[in-house]
Amino acid sequence: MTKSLEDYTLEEAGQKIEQVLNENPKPIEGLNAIYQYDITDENQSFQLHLADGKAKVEFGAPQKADCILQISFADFKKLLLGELSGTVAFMTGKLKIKGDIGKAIKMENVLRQYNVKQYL
Amino acid sequence: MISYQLSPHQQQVKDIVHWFAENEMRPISLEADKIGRVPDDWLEKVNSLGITLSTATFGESDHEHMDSAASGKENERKGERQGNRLAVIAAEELGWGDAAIALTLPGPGLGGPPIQAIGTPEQKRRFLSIFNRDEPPRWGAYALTEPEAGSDVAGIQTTARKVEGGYVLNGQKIFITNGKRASWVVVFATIDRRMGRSGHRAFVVEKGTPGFSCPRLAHKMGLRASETAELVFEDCFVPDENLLGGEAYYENRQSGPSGFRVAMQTFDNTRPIIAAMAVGIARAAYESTLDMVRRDYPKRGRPFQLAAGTLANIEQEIQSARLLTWEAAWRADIGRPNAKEAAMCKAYAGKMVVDVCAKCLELFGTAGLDGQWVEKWYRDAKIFDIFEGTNQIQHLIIARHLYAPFGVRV
Ligand SMILES: Cc1cc2nc3c(=O)[nH]c(=O)nc-3n(C[C@H](O)[C@H](O)[C@H](O)COP(=O)(O)OP(=O)(O)OC[C@H]3O[C@@H](n4cnc5c(N)ncnc54)[C@H](O)[C@@H]3O)c2cc1C
Repeated sequence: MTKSLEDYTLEEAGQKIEQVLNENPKPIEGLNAIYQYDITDENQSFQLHLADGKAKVEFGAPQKADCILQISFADFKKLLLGELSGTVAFMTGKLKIKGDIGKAIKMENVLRQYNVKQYL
Repeated sequence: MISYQLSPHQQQVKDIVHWFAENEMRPISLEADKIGRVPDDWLEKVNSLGITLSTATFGESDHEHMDSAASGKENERKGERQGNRLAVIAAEELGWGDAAIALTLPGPGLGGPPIQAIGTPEQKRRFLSIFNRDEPPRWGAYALTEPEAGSDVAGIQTTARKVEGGYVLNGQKIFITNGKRASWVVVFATIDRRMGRSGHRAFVVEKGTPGFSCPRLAHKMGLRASETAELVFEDCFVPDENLLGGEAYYENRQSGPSGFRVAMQTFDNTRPIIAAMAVGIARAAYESTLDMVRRDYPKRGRPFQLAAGTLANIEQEIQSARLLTWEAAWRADIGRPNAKEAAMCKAYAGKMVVDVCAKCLELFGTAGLDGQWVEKWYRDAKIFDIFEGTNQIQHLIIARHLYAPFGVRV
């Protein structure tokens, strides 16, 4: 059986995201931006580079991001699984956003279009 | 003591709601005012983003959402509730964006607080769980006002007659925000007019219930994009399960003001939010007038001095209203009675926004009258002096609270 997302390491989760976005790039078409996720309780970051309908995940913070999202790993996984909405996460202080807020809201909309469970 | 400095989280909420107000609300504001409604596709879009108008969006709902794995740290945070403060911070930005659109954001709206406050667990689940970004946008509403009972809430005429399995409602409600589009409406009615306040009951009437109709929408001077409905109940059967709080709630309070109290408690939560929206409208008018004066006024001489003096005064008024509003919200957060403060901020802000918009319009001169934001804000502002209790009524409430300790009944 495949591993469930709950058991993923950050590295595995990042790779999975890259794979899923590239397999179905429709929602990310026209979105050119660098998102950085700071996983607060793991003290790790990774960046999601979106350009020309392609996604690339890089660990660490190699480039300046348009938008930084700070969240715990557990909440990040819930966000991916659609169990936690970005808006609720934000309003309850679980998610912090720095930089371009418009891009962050776009990302929330993009994530929603992927039924992540279907890929696991 | 209260701090005047926003916490990082409060600042974040302010920033993101402001972003939303500026980039999503303002671009459709004048058009929505003109056509008298908020476009459906816009509502669908914001609903799918999970943006709702609910006092429970901020922290309050946290208690339910929080799973059992909640760590000690999270429990600590729960200890200091800040839902009311976050709500007024957000409401100011929404008011700055467009108050009519803000009132039309999907969610339980004014109907949320009474259900939160006295709904049974089953009712909370049934009525509050329908607001979901994976479903079409939905609304709740709150129906108290009647042709013969506006300020005089105790005088409601809508009757609820007990029958087998439920109640039969008869009567009329007017000026009900989102009353037509709502999936359910919290309706206040009396089981016996002679009982006065203690005869009041709150019912949740669901859309499509036979005997429940909406014959008319009001055409208003301001807040035109916000739906204001007239509702009619003709032998409308409402099952027992929809009596808010259940029979037990009212039995326990046989001698108390029951349904009336529910209606009034709602206002302690919602008046600061309405006051905050008024502050937002005033700030919008102020900022755009300041811009215009900087750009278009001669930089010296009598007119410039007058304008600068007026603007300084306006800023002071806005800040006073804001601080009163924050105080009312802060008291609610720390669990202190805030009826007096809620009435004070609403009275002050409701009047302030009318004055500020009038002054801004004056500074604009005739140029402000034609298709300008200030003209719209001026029309919207007046309603903040009326709904959720008129200015005169707020003063009555304040006086009651001020003089009650001295045995003086107002
Ligand atoms: C846009 C809009 C949306 C609304 N949305 C809702 C809603 O969602 N749900 C709802 O239930 N209601 C709603 N209302 C109704 C609103 O709450 C009432 O209009 C308000 O309470 C005033 O009641 P009234 O219009 O009957 O005025 P009245 O009570 O008839 O008052 C008329 C005037 O007399 C004054 N007055 C009355 N009594 C006294 C007194 N004892 N002492 C001194 N002065 C007094 C008032 O201050 C006012 O100036 C809405 C109204 C508007 C305009």
